Amino acid sequence: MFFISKWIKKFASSDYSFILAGLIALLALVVYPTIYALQLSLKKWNLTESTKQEFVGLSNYINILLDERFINALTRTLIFVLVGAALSLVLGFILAFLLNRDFPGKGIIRACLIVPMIVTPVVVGLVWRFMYNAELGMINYFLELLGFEPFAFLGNMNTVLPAIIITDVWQYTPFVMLILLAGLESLSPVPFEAAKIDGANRWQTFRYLTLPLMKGPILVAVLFRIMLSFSAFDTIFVMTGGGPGRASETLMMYVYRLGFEHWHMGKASAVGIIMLFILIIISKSLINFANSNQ
Amino acid sequence: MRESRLKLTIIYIVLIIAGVIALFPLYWVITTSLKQRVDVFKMPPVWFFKPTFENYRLVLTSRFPGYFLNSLIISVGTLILSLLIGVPTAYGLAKLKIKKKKDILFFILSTRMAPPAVFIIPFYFLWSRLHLIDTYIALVIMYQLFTVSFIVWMMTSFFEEIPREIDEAAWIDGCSKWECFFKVALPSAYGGLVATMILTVLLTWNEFFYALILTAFKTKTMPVALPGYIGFVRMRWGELSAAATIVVIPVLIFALIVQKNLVRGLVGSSVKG
Repeated sequence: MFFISKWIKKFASSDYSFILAGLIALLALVVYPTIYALQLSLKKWNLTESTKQEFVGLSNYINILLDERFINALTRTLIFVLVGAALSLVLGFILAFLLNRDFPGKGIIRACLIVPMIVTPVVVGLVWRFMYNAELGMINYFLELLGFEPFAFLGNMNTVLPAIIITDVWQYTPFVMLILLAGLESLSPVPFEAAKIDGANRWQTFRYLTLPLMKGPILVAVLFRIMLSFSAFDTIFVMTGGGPGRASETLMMYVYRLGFEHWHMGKASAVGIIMLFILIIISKSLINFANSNQ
Repeated sequence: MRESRLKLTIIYIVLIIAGVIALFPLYWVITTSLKQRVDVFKMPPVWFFKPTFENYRLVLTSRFPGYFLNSLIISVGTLILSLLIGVPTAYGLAKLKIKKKKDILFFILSTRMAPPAVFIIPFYFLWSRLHLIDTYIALVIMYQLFTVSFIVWMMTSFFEEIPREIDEAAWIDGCSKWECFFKVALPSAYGGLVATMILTVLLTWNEFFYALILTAFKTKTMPVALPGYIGFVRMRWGELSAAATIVVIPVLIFALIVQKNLVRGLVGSSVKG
């Protein structure tokens, strides 16, 4: 006992006593469940039939990869994420560029622009659902003023995905804008003055100076923007629930339906693990791409 | 840079249009919450109307105050636990001699990348085996998954900004590391700590996915309760708007106060905003 208390005392005054709780918490909450999910993904386990878990090897993965529903959800998710991220990057860059100067009212405009990323995502989904409504929605009201016919954007197989992409872009463009603005504000003015003296035009300055110097912030913005949309659930859940049919069923919706509507726990875990892999591949290749262009 | 007047006008116009688009949905929710039932569904929309608090009265006399309390208990509980875990960790990583600091920080950041789809099934199974589904404690522990890493990233950057001389002065005075932490570092990073706390509450207050699956009658939070206003028979849009306003406005105001720290908290000190 004496040794233990002495050891505890020694530990309590060491540098590592500060980070112990944090590391344990993250190992217990992140690493352990990931391993557990990996293990579950190798089992057949349907909560509605029995509590028995049966080891089935990789058959969950094989079934998923051969399942058209999964392939469709994957394609949909990639379109949702990549189109949304590209639009956010362009719009976010324009807004950041315009905000990167001093003018009266800048603080207020900046505050207004970041409201979408702070509003509770469920509320975002509910409001947009109402705004897209064919008879009562504001979007259709404005379109009708412009002479278009009212249209149920969320009720149509072809327009539901673009509609949720627009909501997603509305929600997360401020996030991209803030990162890029922080990047632009931290750029040194020296090379830009030199470019001006050398007679570079605006496009040349942007293409050969701003873009390369902004590579870091752009990478961070795109990476986090992709991550946010890849796991987007709240807005889609309340706007469409994955429908009509499965027209807006992303991977997150697919996992939710598989796990908590059909109670296929093993299979849902396998989809979760596949999602993790895809995210790792996307982020690795983005980082490699950024490093290779130096 | 001197801007020409024309250029500045164009910039203003573009930014104001963007601002209107950003604010419109929230404006619509707030005004709808103050409309009478007949005005809510009127087309063309009613822009000017006599405000009424009828929707708020209906919401506040329903089960909604209970959901508000649930959200509050879970957010505050999560905040306290994750501060206890996260702030010392951030201090250690910012100021003390820890091996492989960079790797640890990167690991902590990378945990934020993982999709919740991976974690929900193991945790659902764990909580149901422990009979902790629909309890505060299950959600409070669950939320540490993202709040701890958030706090570590944010506070590390604030602690790093404390000048070395302040640390050294404290060491020379002979206080132990934990004393230094409480008496010197925490007061010096006070502003950052407040911002961190507000944004941590924002994260848990808005959380939906885990709450949807892990709560039921007893601990349902406000975001989970909101979709309930969309009935099969009729959409109670007026009440829904009032409830949504109650969810959004308090955290929105606090978050805008500390908006300068938003980027730092979300992506870490790799980019300072």
